[in-house]
Amino acid sequence: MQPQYDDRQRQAPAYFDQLQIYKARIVSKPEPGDDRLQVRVIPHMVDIPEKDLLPIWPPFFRGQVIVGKTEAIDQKNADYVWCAALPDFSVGFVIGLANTYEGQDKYAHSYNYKDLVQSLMKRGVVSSTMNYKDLYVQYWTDDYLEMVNFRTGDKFIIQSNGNMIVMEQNQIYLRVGSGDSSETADNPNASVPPFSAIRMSRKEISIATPHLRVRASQITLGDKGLNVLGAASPIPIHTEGATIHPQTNIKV
Amino acid sequence: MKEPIVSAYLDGDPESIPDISVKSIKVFASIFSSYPGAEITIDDPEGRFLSALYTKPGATITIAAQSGGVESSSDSPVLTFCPFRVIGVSNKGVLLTDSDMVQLGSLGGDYVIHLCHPWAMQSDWSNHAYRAKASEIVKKIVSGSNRGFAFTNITIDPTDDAGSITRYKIGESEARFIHMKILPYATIDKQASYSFVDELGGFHLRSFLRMYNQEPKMAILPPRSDAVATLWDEKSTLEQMPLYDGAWWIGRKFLEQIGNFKKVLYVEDSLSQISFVANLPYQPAIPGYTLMKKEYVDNVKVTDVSIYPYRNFEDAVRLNVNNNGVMNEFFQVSVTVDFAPDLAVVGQTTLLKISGYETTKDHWMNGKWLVAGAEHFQKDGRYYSKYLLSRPALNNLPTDINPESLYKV
Repeated sequence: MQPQYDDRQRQAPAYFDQLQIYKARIVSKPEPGDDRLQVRVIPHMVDIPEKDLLPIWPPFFRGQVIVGKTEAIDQKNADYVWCAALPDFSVGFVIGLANTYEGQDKYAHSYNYKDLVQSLMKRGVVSSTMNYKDLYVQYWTDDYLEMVNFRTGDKFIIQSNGNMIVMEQNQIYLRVGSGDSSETADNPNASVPPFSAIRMSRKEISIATPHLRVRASQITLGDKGLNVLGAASPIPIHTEGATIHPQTNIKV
Repeated sequence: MKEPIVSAYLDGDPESIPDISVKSIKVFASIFSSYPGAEITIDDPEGRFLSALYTKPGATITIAAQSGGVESSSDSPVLTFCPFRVIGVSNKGVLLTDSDMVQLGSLGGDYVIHLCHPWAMQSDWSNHAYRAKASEIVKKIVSGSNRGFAFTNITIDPTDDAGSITRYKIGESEARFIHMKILPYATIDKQASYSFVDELGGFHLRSFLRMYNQEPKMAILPPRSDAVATLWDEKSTLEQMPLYDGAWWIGRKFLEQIGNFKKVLYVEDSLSQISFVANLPYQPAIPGYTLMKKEYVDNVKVTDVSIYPYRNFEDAVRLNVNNNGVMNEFFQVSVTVDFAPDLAVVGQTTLLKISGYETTKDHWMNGKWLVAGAEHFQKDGRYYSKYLLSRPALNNLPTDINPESLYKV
């Protein structure tokens, strides 16, 4: 039999002392204090009945903890991971979550770049010149995306509920909530839930929020060294022909 | 003198292979291979067996034998070799390199039936994970009967390992799993382990020493003559067999063996991440003299280096011990005697008792040897047993050799 038709010669022999790459399904995550994953190497271990003896391997890189959906919780939708292991599986490591391979002609498992950019542009945090080809996505799921523009160094951390941290060359933008910027954050009658955002540039910091609470024993505004003259009062005060009205939306 | 009788039955039918048509029956086994094989040659000048499609691959053949002996002795018990399955049928002319011609028109000639132990074809292929001592894993596997036949005679020595490493049997036969994933990491009394099926069908997981410690049933001597009369002992409790043919090879694997005398091992234990550089002097299965010059071994610091990355320390050390198993073949002798599968099969011992250059002196080869390989065959109408005998060191030396000059292990 020619070697290419011999199934065994197509695989690394069991005695090889070389780590090979295998795909595995996450079976379970051990208890707290054990950062390893129990995995089922695919397709090799698909029908091994001794589930307790399936490999429990640590992350490949120190300082990482890899998690994902497990067979223990959702048998059908467990995540896949790449593993580096000896061919007899006596020693192995989990490298990270594995991607799907969908062939040469299509790839449906891509992040939603179009919606992402529209959302960012509406919030004024990216320019129209942002290019998909410059964005190095470090990790994304349906609920989370973390990426870097490798040309500009801009960093984006975004959640599907609208929360984001954006660090660009000219500004840092922090936001909680998905409200539209055309409906101001301080509008209690807005059609969408309110949001809070802080935009910080070299020239100003702008804060949008339904309720700004500052808790400090001393507040300094400007550098004149003067004190603000004021009175705490629930009703207007008349003095020397002037009426001082209370600002009901500022409380001390 | 009664000649041995060897017969073969096809699928249990005693009439199916007429003894008169059998040209030869050969059975062979070795402690280094998983299972024995056999070959039956039937004289078929007219192509009768071929035209009737007489045997088919997968068919069962039983080979039974009755040893010979002196006329006055009572009949020996019938001994049945392990069951065999037909794995092919051919005649000698089939290969392009063969010069033998067959009978034109009928494709007659020698009808050769190739046989193998059923384990070659029948196995439990299911996937499993095991975490137990190697000997317990092997016992669990061979004790199973989910393969169409069962081993009736099992000898398993306890292995040294703690059984803390999980072994995965995945897409492989039982024999392959044992040889590829268990045996390399299994030692017995800190010595290499051997897994094999003998000619009679017994399964073994044993060390050289434990096999060697068995008492022999047979002594092999030069053919009776006045010159060697003193070697023959009429009161011997062992069966004394004349040596018909012999050969020897010292150092057949010398270039592999020499490295084991002072090996250095580099291991990074995957559990503790501690690196080891271990000097491992050779520990023989049985002590004695090698023919290595003492000064050579004493004067060299290292004879070989092995590097085992990624392995657990326990596995790496045992792997090295099994690599040293080749030392057990340092001295090899083949001997041909009368048909004797009732007296010795692979994994058993025999006593060699031949004469020296001066017939009154013992030969340095004399002593107990392990049967590492065996072939029971027919030649010129007579049946013989040929044994490959092995041992790692010698107890005796010729009187004119200074033992001080040789490396003793």
